[in-house]
Amino acid sequence: MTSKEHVPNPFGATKAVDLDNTQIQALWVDVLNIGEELSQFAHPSTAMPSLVLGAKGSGKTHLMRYHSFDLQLLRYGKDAPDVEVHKGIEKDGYIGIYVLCGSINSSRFKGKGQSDEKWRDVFAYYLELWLTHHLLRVVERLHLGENKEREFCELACELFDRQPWPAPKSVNELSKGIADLQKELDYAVNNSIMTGTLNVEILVTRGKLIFGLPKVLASICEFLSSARFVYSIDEFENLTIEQQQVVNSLIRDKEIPATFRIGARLYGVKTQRTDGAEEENLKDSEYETIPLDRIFRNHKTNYATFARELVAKRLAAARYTAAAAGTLSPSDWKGVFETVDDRWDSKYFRDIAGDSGFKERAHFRSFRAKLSEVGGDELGQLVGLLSATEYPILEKLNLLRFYKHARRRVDYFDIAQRINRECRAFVRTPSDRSQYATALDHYKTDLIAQLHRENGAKQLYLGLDNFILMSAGLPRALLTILRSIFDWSAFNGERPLAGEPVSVDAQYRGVRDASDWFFENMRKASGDGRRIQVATDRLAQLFRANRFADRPADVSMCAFAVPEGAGSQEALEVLRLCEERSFLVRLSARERKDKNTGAPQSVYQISPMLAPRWDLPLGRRGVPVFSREEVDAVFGSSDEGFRTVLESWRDRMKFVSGAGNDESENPQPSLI
Amino acid sequence: MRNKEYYADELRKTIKNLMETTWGSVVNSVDIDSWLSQFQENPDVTLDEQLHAMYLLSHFLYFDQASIRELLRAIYRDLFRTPLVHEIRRANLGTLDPNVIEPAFLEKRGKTRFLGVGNPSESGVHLLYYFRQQNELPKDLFINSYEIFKREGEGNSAKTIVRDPTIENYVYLDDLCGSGTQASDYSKDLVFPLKAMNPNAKVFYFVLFATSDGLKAVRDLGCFDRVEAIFELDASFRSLEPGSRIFEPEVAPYFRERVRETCMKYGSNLWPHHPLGYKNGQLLVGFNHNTPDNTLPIFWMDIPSLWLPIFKRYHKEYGP
Repeated sequence: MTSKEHVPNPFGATKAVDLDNTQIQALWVDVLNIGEELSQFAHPSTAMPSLVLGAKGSGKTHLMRYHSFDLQLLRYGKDAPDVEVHKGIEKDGYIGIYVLCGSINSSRFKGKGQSDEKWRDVFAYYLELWLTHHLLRVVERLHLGENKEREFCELACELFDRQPWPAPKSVNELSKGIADLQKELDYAVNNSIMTGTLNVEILVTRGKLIFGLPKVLASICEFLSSARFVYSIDEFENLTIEQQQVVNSLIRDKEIPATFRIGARLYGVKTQRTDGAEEENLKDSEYETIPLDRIFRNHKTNYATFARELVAKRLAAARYTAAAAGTLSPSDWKGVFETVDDRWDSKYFRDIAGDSGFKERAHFRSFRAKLSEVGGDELGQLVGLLSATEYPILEKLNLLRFYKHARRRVDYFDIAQRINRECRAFVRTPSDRSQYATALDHYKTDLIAQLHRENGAKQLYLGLDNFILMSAGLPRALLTILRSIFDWSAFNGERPLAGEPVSVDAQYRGVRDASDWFFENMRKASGDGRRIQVATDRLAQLFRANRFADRPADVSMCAFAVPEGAGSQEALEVLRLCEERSFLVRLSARERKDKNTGAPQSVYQISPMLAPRWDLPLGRRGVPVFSREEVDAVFGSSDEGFRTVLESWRDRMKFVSGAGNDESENPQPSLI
Repeated sequence: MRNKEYYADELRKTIKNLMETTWGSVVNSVDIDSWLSQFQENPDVTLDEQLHAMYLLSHFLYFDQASIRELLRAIYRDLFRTPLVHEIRRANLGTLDPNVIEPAFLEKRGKTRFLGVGNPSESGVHLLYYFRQQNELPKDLFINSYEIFKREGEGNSAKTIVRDPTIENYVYLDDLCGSGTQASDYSKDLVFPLKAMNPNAKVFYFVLFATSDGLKAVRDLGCFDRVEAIFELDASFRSLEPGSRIFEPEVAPYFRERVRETCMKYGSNLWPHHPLGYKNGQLLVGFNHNTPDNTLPIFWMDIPSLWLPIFKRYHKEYGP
């Protein structure tokens, strides 16, 4: 039995830790060329330490590894002579010393019958040796020359409180000496549970090597005299609060030419307190922050450009010829993914809704059911007036307008006639800026979603622009969408991204899979993770109830505002967790204010990555302000409270013939 | 109960995962859709034949070439080498000295011959090539069945004798033992005469996969010294019987009896004497090189303009 041709997925690796140095370099998108707004991603030009913060998959590791010495060397050229390396560093103005906190197994440094103070000092010493060892491995590769190396080693040894060995003659020897000290310390720490003791001799004062060695290097090497030594500490969230305090102290006490760049998840910085002293590091005083995904979200156009280049780089690396030739322009992308014609007069909608001559369309069957008490002839006339056989989307809009306006039964006929006139006028001259045209523009995506659902068709999220929108500033989310789509396309027997458009079916299935992946993988482990998922599900149910209602309260609802302090402590805690884990996206760093009271409000959108799970829109328009009751219902622990709120939403948006559909009781925004 | 689309999507996801992880791109969505189109749809999801077929497909055990090669290594290592090494150690006071064990093993291996079950066109013999490659064995350890014996003398006085009386072990290899019929046939022609002529020779029957019933049937023949499989398929692998592992427990909308009806309906047309596979095998197993006839015929039967298989079987024609 022969296997089908295996098509490698260019989006297979989505995590920077799975990429080697060459791939990190090859897949790097030069953000500086995209826009000034992204200039924060460049290597720091000042000595101010920075915290690179971002959700899982926002690109922290890629950014930090790109600025590491390994990658610098790669950029200077394979086998570049030492003099070129030195010139390169001089030009770059920095040396990146990249370390991963995950590799030190930080949980070893606690308990085992030893006091917290003891562990704090042991960890600080370990950190000193660990960072120093990484620095020395970099210095080794600078090939300073025999004399300089000997001088460096002599001066380095003077930094110890008690010199552990006679001054080594080379950096390699010094590096091995530090590695041996670290190994001894590892041994003592790892065996303290067995021995019941932790006899560690601390040979150097905290910070002496970390800050002292760069100073020595800058003083003896001309090409390093202006260079910044950047300790890039990634996965900071893996350290305990006490351990983070040790690092915070180093940040606070930093001495040039050394500085720090810390990479952490949004929730990864557990404290700003320093060790021992009752001091806290202050933003813009002791450090600055680079909130990666938020910057991407706040600069949509730049992010879209970045994302397209990111995809093009992947394709080029996988030798897809169109992409290998250079950056794909937006027009190039048009043919890559199959789309559907979603203009209001598209045949596509007739195909979805079915031939009305053969069987009455689903939306009119539902309409007849809602107005069952109206007599047959009159109901038939109403259906006739609201029909636009060739244009199912306009029929949907006509019904929406009817449901919104028809409060008293005596008005039904007049309202239907008015809608009929407006509809016919629109069909004659669609370019007129009529209220009808504006309403269509506003409600179109929701009406299309309703049409799909009523007729059992799949909700579609198609094309690269939508995928970029879904990723909401998380490049890994975009790559995951594309990876899933590519897999489905290959499974469907297509030749994805190689001349044939990727089918609607592959896009539909890939997007769903990516959405499920996000829902399952971004959450926190343990009970908090479950609470995040439950709250997100409830929120999505409310938005879905709105989207598929007869009389939606808002257009494309997928965001909400929370007045300051609205909600119980428990609910607000879950809300915070949802934001930390990127299930909710805070729309702006600045809070908005209530129009009437001036009270501050925070606005959140459900992650567009999750939209396909509940058939929600990607773009937002209406933003309802949640009451305290609604905040508690969604983010609190009571299922009953939520069910009550959900029912009240449904009732409010349901058209009930002859019930008045009283706007004063159930206020609805005006229909444009 | 949810609609068909929901269940079909879930099953399709599972099948795609199987393809990406273990099946090795042997089929794609187009093949699956073509195969499924031969089954009828039904508004009642519990009666929808396409869902029945997809459900069975999502539980199909397909072994690609890499897996088969790994299993051939396992046969050599676990069923052949390890027992011999144990025997050598026992004979040498439990020694762990490789300088004792290895030469003794090579000596015993030199007095071993490996054979495929069936004629040279069949899978048992086909596997020998990969078996030799995977285990880096010299080719003189492999013989054809006819090379076991030779004729001595001429005319009426000619008689059949064992060609090489120094050979101690004969190892028969096959990919699957379903009912044990084939092993039984070959034992009558080859194994019983061999044992009669050389009672000291040991004859082994090693298979990659075997049903528990098949293994028992071959063991009951009493002519093989050892009968073993790497992967034993117990009664729960009979997919449509009570106790089937894929219906234990039954989860809506997949009910065993209804799925069985679907398989019977098509199987009766495809292979009237064995509608659920040879001797009612009901297996859901296929290999890269072929699909056994003990597997449900809806998967492998290939009848132009009547039935399109998803895992084609290169069926044996035994002649009239």
